[in-house]
Amino acid sequence: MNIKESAENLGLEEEEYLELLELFIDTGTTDLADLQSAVEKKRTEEVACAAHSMKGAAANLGLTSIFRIAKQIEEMAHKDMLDDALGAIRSIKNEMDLITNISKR
Amino acid sequence: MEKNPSEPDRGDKTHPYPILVAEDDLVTRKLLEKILTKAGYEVVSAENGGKALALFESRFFPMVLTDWIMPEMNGPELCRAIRKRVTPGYVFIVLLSVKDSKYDTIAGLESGADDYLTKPFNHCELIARLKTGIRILELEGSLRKANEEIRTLSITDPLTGCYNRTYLNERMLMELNRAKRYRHPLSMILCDIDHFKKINDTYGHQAGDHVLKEFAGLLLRSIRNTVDWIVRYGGEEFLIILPESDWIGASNLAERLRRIVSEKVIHIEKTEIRLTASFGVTGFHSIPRDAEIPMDAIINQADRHLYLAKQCGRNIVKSGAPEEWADSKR
Repeated sequence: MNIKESAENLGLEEEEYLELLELFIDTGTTDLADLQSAVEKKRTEEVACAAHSMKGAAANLGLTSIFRIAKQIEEMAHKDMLDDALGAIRSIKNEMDLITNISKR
Repeated sequence: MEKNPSEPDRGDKTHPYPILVAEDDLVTRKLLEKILTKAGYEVVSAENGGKALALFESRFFPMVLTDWIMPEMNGPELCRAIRKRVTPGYVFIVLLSVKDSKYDTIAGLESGADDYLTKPFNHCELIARLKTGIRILELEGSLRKANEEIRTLSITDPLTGCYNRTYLNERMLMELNRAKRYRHPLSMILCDIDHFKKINDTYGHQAGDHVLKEFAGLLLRSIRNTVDWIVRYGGEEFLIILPESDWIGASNLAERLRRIVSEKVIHIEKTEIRLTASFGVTGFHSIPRDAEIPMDAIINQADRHLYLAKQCGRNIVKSGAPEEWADSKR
């Protein structure tokens, strides 16, 4: 991902965008843990809600892959089919690690 | 309430339209704060609809930007709550959501939102839509101002700045009801400039107008600012309404006014004009709650006293309680 371009898309300075990314990773780590526990307990409504909010934040920051996966999880929850949700959560975690590495560069 | 510490204080450059942001997601909230602050807006944000509404109640925000799905109170609920409130001006509300079906757009707008923006939003579009909002707010503001001006004009005598008879008919009814309900005193002074026709005939109508203005100014400066009020009742006849004063208090004021007027020298070009006025006073110490007292009847009483004052040689105050409903104690 191109930090400079993403920042420009939002009308922000690179530094400001990085600050928001950091915030996203910080809150996202907790949110992801909550999401995982909701999936394990099969609480579909909680899963949908957590995935929805992550989807929104990712969309706004232009993080398209996380947005896509979060959207899939939300849809799974709505259909009450959480079988693949844990795998999807792992994918988000990987994406987040990737962002962490890029933003620290 | 969160203020972005990384943004410099823009002071007087800030828009006159502060924005209230309601968004539960911390990242999106911070993003909105950054974008709006950069565009010069003052931003106050809340993490749910309930907190946003509490902020809105403590301070008026002409613009509200709200997320759809939030805990405690969601976006449409916040819209409806704001629309139910009586506000000092219009509130431009933009709903923000990832929802994107036609049905949601309609539901959002029906809840009272003015505009709808889907996430991920484009910052240029967001700012452009807020500018549309400002156009609406400015239109509404100028309309409200025009209405206020029309209202003021419709109840004011343009020459003297006193109220006119339209206002007398409106407000006197309220004053009478209030005095009756709380058994409070209420009085009036009817005054008339002596030999005004002579001023007009001698110095012309412009001079006459000038005298009327000066005379009204003397009266206006002598009454209690927010309690008493003055109506230009006829050509050179003025009616002063004095809530919370009985006719004795009103007579004292009338006597003071009589003296002030008689001591005043009005300059017209190089001529000095002195004038006098006659005063008729009446009023109640308290009005019996069941009394049916028409406004005209009280004015007629004051007029009778004014007539007496004129009969007695002018430049004099004549007063008394209204005969028909005279307070037994007086």
